[in-house]
Amino acid sequence: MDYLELRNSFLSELHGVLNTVELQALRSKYTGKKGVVTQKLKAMAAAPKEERAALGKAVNEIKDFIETQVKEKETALSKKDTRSYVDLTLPGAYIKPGGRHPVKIILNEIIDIFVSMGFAVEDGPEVETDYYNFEALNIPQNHPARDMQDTFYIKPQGAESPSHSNVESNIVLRTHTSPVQIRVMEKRKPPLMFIAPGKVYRCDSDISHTPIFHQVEGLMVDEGITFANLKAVLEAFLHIVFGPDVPVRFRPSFFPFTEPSAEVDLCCFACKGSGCRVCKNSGWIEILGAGMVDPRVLNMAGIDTEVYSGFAFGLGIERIASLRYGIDDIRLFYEGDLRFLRQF
Amino acid sequence: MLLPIEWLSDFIEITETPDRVAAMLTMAGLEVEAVYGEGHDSVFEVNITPNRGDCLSVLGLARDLSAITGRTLKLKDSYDSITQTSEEISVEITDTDLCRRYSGKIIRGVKVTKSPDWLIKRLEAAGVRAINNVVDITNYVLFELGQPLHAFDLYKLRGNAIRVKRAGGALKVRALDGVDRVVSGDSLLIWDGDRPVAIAGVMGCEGSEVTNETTDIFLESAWFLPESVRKTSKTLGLRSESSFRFERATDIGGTLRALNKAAELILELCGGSASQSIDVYPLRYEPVNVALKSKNVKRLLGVNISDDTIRGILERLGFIVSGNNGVFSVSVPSHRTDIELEADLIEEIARIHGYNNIPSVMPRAVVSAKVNKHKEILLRPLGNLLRQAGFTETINYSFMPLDTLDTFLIPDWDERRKVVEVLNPLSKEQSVLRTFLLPALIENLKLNFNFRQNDIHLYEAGTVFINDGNMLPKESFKLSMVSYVGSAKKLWSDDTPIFYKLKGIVDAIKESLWPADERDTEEGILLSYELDIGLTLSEQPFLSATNSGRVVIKRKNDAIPIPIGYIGLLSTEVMHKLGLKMRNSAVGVVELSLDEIFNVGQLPLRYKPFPKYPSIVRDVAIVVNSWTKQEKIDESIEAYKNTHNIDLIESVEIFDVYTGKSVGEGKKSIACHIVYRSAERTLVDTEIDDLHGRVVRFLLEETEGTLRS
Repeated sequence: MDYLELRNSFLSELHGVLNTVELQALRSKYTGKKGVVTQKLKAMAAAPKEERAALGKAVNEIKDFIETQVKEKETALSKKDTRSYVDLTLPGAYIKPGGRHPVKIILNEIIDIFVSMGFAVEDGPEVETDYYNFEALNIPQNHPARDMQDTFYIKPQGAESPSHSNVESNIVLRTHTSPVQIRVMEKRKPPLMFIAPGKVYRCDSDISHTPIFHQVEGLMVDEGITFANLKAVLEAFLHIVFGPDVPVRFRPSFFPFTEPSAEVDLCCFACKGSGCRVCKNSGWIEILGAGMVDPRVLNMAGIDTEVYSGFAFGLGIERIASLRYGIDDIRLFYEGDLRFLRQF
Repeated sequence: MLLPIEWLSDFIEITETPDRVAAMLTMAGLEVEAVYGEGHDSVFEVNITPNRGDCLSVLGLARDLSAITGRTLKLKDSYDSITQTSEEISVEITDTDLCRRYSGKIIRGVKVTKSPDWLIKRLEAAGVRAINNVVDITNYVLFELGQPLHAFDLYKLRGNAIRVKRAGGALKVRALDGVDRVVSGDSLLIWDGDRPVAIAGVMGCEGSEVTNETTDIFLESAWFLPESVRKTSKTLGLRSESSFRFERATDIGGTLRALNKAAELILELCGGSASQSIDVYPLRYEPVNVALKSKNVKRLLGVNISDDTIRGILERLGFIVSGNNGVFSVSVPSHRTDIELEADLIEEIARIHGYNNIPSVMPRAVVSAKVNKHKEILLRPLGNLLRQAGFTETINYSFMPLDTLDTFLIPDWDERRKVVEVLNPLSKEQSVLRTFLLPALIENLKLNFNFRQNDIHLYEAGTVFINDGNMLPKESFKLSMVSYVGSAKKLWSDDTPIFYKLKGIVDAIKESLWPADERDTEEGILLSYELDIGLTLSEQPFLSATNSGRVVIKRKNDAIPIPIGYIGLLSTEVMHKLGLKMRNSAVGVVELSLDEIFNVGQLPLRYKPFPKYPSIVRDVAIVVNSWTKQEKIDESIEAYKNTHNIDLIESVEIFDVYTGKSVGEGKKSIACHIVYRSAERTLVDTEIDDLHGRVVRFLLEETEGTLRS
């Protein structure tokens, strides 16, 4: 072996040494009794006389080099080893982050998707007048459509009379986020493109209903907006939330403030459409309501229906969160139980 | 409603499997929610939307199915069965605004008995219990044609008269269910010669009904104003198959067909002889003509549908279509009064054509730039910070029980007493809208404590409601936090008092929103705490007087600081009232106004060069009176800098606060690093030794302190 090669192979092995035990093994491999360098020294006897001096010098040089290197490494290693070993399996000291409410996760996800499509985000009051919650949305008094939403009525402020009936109050807890449509349309002119997320209230409570839940309302009004546009926008949205391959269907339905109206169904992801408990054997899961804004609503808000058309949609956040996370009792969202909330 | 498919086939030929028929109806807006039974015996449960009263019958559904399939609707002409000369009963509609048509017929000599099996079978399939042949036939016609009928015992009708008029004043009536009810003066009633015999469209009254002894009957087939029936039915809490249909508008053109059908069946199954029909119809139905342009069909749906298809769909649904070349006038039949506008017709075209046959086309871009300032978006960085600090997000109902205000010792003058009342709460616990977030979070805390959670850190961002006398209450967006650390021993301990942990989080909120403080820039925000100590009560009556304070923010140009909330520990009294049994542990709470915080919004930031030369740090520990605030040291140093024109003191950092025997009763020791630095040169130890000595002497004078030995 060439001396330079010998030196390089030593250095590369030395680099991989992690502790003193390995270091001693390396040392004896090179300069021990049966070491590589010692063997070279011994082999000198066989060399021609005139070469011996030069050979001896070279071997001794490399021997010194190795010894020096080993000493340096020894010092370095001894410095490193003074601390005791850590227990890699003990938990670290950190603040366990709190959970984000699952409804808020979905709500913010939905906001982001629509914002990415160019929608603005609007807000409105949770206590509403009968006008914004019903009348302006083409839900007149004494119309059966009022039965679609069990309404909480609010005692008119300032009224001191102890006797009052629900029928007399024209203040309600909003039953949907749709009033925001009207409030924005009254203030601004098309093109309009926004969503309105928020809390809504229905006088109802059981395993699949809580008196409070969250909706996201959406509206797009401009010249030439069509039902075909509605389909494309909602399909794009649902494919982001539930996956690009989920079949989506639009089914005629009725909402007083849209015409034509549609329920939008997703192919049941549990059974892939063959029918199961999740989809009540229908193969489809109702996910949101939508439609072309009823011209009566646009006219009431002062928008010219000869020029403009638009679509609106509304979806329930709890429903999407329940489907996403497999939550079968929606009351869990509102109990404040850390065993539930910490899972998100 | 329940729809037996074999009944449906009376009106339309059905060649598809029941599942296929169900799918066709569903995709036309008549959602079949369930299919019971199999083959010919299948029964559909159809969810009829409130606008489609016309589909609450076998005929109505058959008509839509005819439009979907293109097959003919089998509807025979109606004829009046007259088997005897007419007999007089006077029918008079007084309130024609509420009843626009009243048809009737007398049938004498009927035998009231059990219905034949085929009829019972159909009724039961439709979910109706059989009673006797006369009543069963009226129900049968209701389900088949959608027209509610009512049979009176003719013998029990006094004065040979039927009058249709309002109650006039509050009136007590006993309906067929045997319950006495008071109807309002505006409710429409059916009267005989001298008393009410039915609540129009809702239910008959006791004393005029058909029994097994009845031989002569008067059959009613009328049209009542939907809003009126709905109002009466809702006020009385009385609903029936009839009222359900009247509310959703029955077919004013169909009263005679129903009457004739019922008479035909009665004569066949109960015997007897029928009089000629009476038909009081003062103001005949005038069909509305709706203009329809096919270019608007395309404008709204985004798809081309041919004129022939449009015409075909509308005609099969019963509309009369005239016009051509894409401009039509569509006459609305009496069973479709829900159709008023062109958009309504376009929906009919779309749903029968099939939503699946409308393509998906992305709208052309409407581009505008905007900053979204919605509260959920503004809340994001704060939520992230709080969760990183270990706080879990909750959402509670917006309600609270009224007695919460007493539990939290809220005084009479406090804004939080101005509650917004719910008129129809689900329970007493939800009787008013919440005026602060804390009570619900405390309930969350209790629940988790009872489940043996050791560390409970929760936050909620939500709306509170104050009754300020305006039409709508004042809504404010608030943030509230609760924090509790149990006494269980932990691996890596941190025994910072909970108050200071919470204060640290509030400080962090400030740092994250407004990194520059008032001293740094013109617009910077200074967050400060006003802490009541000693004998004065805390501003929040439910907080510990010694461990609480107001949180205020102040900008340089603000004359007075803006209070944005409070921080503190719950008082032991309130903890006791709340039933919080955490021995030796405190509950820390914070409530902040997010409206105020968001209102300040983002403030401009400017880069400030950092020092080039090294600093020299000297420590000092001084013993002061225990009530001396840390702030006093900052102020003293600031004063020294100003009075002595010294710019070499960069900062003061407290690193220890100690009380104990060695410093003496009523005293505490505050230790701090004082950092000296020059912007122009490297300082030398000796000059700083000298300066530090003078600073310390000044500090001792100002704070009336002594050096800690």
